[in-house]
Amino acid sequence: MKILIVDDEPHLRMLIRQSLEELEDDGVELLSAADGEAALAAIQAETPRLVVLDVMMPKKNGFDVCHTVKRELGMDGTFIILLTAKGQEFDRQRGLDAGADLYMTKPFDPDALLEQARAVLGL
Amino acid sequence: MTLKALVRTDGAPLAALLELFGAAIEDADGKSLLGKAAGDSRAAVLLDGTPLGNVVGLAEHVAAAAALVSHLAAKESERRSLANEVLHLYREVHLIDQLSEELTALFDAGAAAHSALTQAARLVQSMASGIFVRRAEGEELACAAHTGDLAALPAKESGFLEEVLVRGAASIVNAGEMASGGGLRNLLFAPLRAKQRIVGVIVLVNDGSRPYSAADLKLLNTIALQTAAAIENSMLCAEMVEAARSREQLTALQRELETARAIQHSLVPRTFPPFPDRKEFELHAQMLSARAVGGDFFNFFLLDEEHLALVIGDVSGKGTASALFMAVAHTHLRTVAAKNGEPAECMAEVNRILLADKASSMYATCFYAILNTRTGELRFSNAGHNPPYLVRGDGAVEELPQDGGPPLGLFAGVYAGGVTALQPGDTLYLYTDGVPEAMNADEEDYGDETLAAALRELSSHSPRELIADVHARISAFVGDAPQSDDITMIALKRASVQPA
Repeated sequence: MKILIVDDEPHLRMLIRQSLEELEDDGVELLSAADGEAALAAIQAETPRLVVLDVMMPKKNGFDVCHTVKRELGMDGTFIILLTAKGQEFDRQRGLDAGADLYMTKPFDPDALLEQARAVLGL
Repeated sequence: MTLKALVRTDGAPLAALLELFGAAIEDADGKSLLGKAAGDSRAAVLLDGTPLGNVVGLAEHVAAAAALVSHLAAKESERRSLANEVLHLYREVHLIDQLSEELTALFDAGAAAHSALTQAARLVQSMASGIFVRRAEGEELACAAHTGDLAALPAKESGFLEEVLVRGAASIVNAGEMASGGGLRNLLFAPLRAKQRIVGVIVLVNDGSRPYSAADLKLLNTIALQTAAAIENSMLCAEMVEAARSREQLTALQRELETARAIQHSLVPRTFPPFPDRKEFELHAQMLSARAVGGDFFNFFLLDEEHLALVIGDVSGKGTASALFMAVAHTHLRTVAAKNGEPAECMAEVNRILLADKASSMYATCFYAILNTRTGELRFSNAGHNPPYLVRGDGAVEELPQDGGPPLGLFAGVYAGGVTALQPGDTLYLYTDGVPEAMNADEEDYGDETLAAALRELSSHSPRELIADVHARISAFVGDAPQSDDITMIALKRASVQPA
């Protein structure tokens, strides 16, 4: 099973990876991508079960990636968590419209993210 | 930290290493994890003295392989504990953010205003109502809550609201002309008075069929009094939460900088003299971090009995991210240096690794050299770093040629190598850009010329004296101006009298 972490901030990628690291003991592979285009390529090539997706990114934003994956490629088996900065509440609807399964705001709760990932992967 | 976790993280270099030695690694239970063993001798892999498992292979190879794997395990364990520390800090930031949000919600002026209007509607008949507040005397009024049609309420330009603020008394305006809604309305106003300050106005409007009475006025005044206190409190509270939040953010930032500094300093040698038994050369180094931690690094280590490796570098950017990048680049270089011969090959290899798992837009300038401590031959390669100075025993100062390539992690490139010789009495002086770019209060740089001139005068000094003296000169030049970048220096001197 694979999880793809997408954020243009290397810092945030490191934090998300660290939050999810113990899943590696259960055989989960953690992958990462630094922009929307790379994310899309990785999703198609690796078919991760879960994608933690930042919204504000260069090249292709999180909404567009989510829309392509869910609405155009029809990859319903890919669970997408959108992560975005706090206070942009109207974005929530936009994220859900694009087909996101869950919406979390930054600063995110590392424990909640891990718990959610476990639930999605059935661990 | 387990060997299994190490295999997961450093699988590729580890596999290559094991193949080279014809060895395999197994965990503490004897389960094989990676590699093919060409023999059945075992040597333990240790982390802080605790066995993690074994390297299995030929008797003559296992000890060396186990030592290397132990080193990798120590580095990985260090990286993990730092990453965990950063995660811990982040968890705190999240909790504080969460708490302040809940507090703000609890003391929400809008919520207090809304419940006041709901109360008023039960007691006094109206078609629309509103509460307008201002944060301070002289500020614009803003609508904190309203019921019914906002357009039915008196507009700010109508002057009604301002008048209540100025007079500070409740009033009835029956059949008042509305500025925005048109038509005749009955209006009821009361000031929101908290202690000595009027924080806003509450207003009720009906359709003109029934005039407001003195009893209505009295009721509204009572509601206004209670509401004013709640609104004033919520405003004060919001200000306090805001202040606390920026303080907490500042503290978190401060801690992040401390973490970055700790990372930076944990990776550079701290014991001087580093090789007290070696009489053929003398070595000293110093790193002074600027307040906003930069990404300088340096290291030196013996590759074998007569080869000393020296590294100095500077990562782009500042803060935790560059400190972590520095740690990564530094670890790769150290690992590669242990395997490869020529400095130019090492640079190319590290550059390739950094570009392959390119996690950021960061890059590092770096100078890497190997000194043959017996012959004085110095082989080097420079990845975009300030060229070191060769300070001859007679006082002549030369810059080393720019043989090398692009900074590490920037783009793929070819690295050239250079060769020179250190005669007995010669000193190699390596530094980062914090030295020539040290700035005084008039924003003038210390400069390359001044540095070269200083080195000319200091050619007879020992490395320790030379670094102390250059540092003193820079301090005198900079004066009270804050240190803007890390300042790192290494001096390596070949003894004038070589041991037989």
